[in-house]
Amino acid sequence: MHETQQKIISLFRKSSKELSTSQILESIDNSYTELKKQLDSGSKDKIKLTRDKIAQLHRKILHHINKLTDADILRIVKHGEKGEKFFSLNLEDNEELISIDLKKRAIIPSPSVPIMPIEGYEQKGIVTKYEPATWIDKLNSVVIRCEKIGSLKELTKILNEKVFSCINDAVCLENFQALLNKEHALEFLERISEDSENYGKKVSIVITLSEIKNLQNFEEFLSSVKKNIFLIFNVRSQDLQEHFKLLSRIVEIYSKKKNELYFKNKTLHPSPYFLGRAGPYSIGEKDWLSADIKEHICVACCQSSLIVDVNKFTSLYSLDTEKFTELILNISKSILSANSLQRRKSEEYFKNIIQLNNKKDVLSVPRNYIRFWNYGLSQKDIDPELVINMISESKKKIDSFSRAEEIIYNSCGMPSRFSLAFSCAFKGSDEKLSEAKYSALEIKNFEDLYRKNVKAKVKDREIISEIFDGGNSVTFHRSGSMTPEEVIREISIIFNSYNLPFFSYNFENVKGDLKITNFFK
Amino acid sequence: MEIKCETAFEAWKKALKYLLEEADNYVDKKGRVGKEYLNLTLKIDSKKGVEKPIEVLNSFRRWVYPPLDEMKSFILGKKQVPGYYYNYGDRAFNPEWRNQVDDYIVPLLKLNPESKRAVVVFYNPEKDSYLEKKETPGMIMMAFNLRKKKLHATAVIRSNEMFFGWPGNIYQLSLVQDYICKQVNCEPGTLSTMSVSAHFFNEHLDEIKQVIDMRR
Repeated sequence: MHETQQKIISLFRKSSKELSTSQILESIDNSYTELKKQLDSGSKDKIKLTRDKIAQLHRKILHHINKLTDADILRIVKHGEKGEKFFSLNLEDNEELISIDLKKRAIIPSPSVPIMPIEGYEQKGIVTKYEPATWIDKLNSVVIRCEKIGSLKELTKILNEKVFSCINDAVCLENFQALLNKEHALEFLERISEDSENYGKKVSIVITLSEIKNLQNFEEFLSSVKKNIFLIFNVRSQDLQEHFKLLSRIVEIYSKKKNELYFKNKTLHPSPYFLGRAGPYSIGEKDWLSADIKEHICVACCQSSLIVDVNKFTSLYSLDTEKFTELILNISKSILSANSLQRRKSEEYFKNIIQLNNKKDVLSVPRNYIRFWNYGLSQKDIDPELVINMISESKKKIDSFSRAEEIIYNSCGMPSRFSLAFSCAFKGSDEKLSEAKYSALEIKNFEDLYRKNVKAKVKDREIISEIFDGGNSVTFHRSGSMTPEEVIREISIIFNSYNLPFFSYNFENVKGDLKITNFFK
Repeated sequence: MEIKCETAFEAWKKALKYLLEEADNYVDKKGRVGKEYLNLTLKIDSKKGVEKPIEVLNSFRRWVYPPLDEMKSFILGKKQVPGYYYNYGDRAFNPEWRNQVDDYIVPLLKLNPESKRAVVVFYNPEKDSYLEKKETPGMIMMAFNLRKKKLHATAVIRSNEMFFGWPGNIYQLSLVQDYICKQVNCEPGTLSTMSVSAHFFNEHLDEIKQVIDMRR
């Protein structure tokens, strides 16, 4: 599908109203507004020239609108005063456009979700389904093995034509350095940044630091990564010394851009770990290496997610471990029934991924996520230890439940995987979540990492990271002045002192100039 | 060891008690600790009350057993259901491989009611006998013997978790028995299972003991 057509669809999805040709043009093409301003002044000839240019833009946009109308994706709803047509998106609430090839437009009805033992909690706002409209017919997230892809052009095509239509949150581009070592990625970055915005998906690019070979391509890439792309560095402790210059350059560029820098401790977690709108995602090492998926280009990571607003729960039921475990058990039962529906329709829902992998077993590895929001860490009125204990106790019960269900389904000749993971939720996962009640983990220098209160906070996060087997994201908010060398020293301390598989450095509050050295010379 | 009872519930309780008291300690490849007994046979007089063990499991409200109609659609379904490693129905009824029931057992029993060849095999060496294979059928085969106008059904199960698994297996055996009875116009007879590795896991010992102590 042409880029302009994608933009038109995206515009209608966002605005969800009737739009005229001029309104579409105005929203999609910046030059149109500029040209309209020019009509107010200038010579007659210039005005005529401007009018011609505007007419040309109108013709161009009409060409694309007509194509979408012919494919029944848009429909004409009325004619305006001067005969200008108004359009609307021709998709019902329960329909989803799954093909981006206009000639093969296919619409499938969204499945009806069965009655579940969490609806009472949903009404109270304690539990929410992540993306309820596509809770069953889309995966939350997938991982693309970039080393199995020939070029960035091919990757763009795969994302646009196969992957985005099957997911409702995030895609991880694992081992991206394999492509970056071969090609310039500026055009790709531009495109992917725009596409992810238009399609409402989050993209994580994961780069193994020790495998960067083309420094020129890398620096160019690093300077151009947009804020809506998560750049994650896959690093071992020894890499911090061995690739010190490269890392310094990364810190320098990222801190100047005030971007957040993400690190995955490769030693603690060798398999994928990335971020979405719902929260972090990960795949366990054993699953990642399993024979079932070793040939897959696209590996499904998460099937469905539910979010628990712990603050809302405790405000109604206080720290009642039994009640909390009962809630989590009900959530697990709900996910189990959703999984059953999803499995039986998997060939239809995930057709594109099946085609891409040339294998049918899309669901041999993914887990389901129970995400927690406002779970009392650094919350003034709640003892974090009690909350951690409550979550930890429910985790034991859930693990037992998952094991029992696997036995039951296997014994009944319906062998499938049923796996639940715990993780944290991000605020963006649902707009109805309670107001964030976390205090940030701030550090000004490496000495802070040795202070009792900071150590205690990091320790709490370390414990939570262990319970959150689906992934946890710990952010260090760096403030004060800094040099790249100092930051690397701090990162090194975190790597060597704590069991944090994934953390980030936030440079928004950093002051002053950095020492600028061109480490690549 | 053979346990003979009138009903599925009684046989299930006796089997669990026997494992608890007589079986050897056992640790599976995932490190789960339990009890195991090799070659345990359970025989029940009729399919009456065959769903009871599943009802008992559901009454605990701690697990979700697949609904009976879903289990029926899996065992009697003729197609591979996507998203599952294998399906018994597909193995038994799918004409793409061999519809062993409609194209073999039914005509065989009509032609030769006393035949000892009426077997359905779920295990397929071409698909299953590989070291890297994660899941292979637990139920290897079913055999059907028509004697005195009653169809006696037997299932051979290579790995049989007796607390959660057996209730489903005996129910599925009864469904296939029922299906064949209707096709050949006979009455259902006894139901037997031969569990090569009959086991349970200690993780569910409390509930197992509760079942053993249950009255009718």
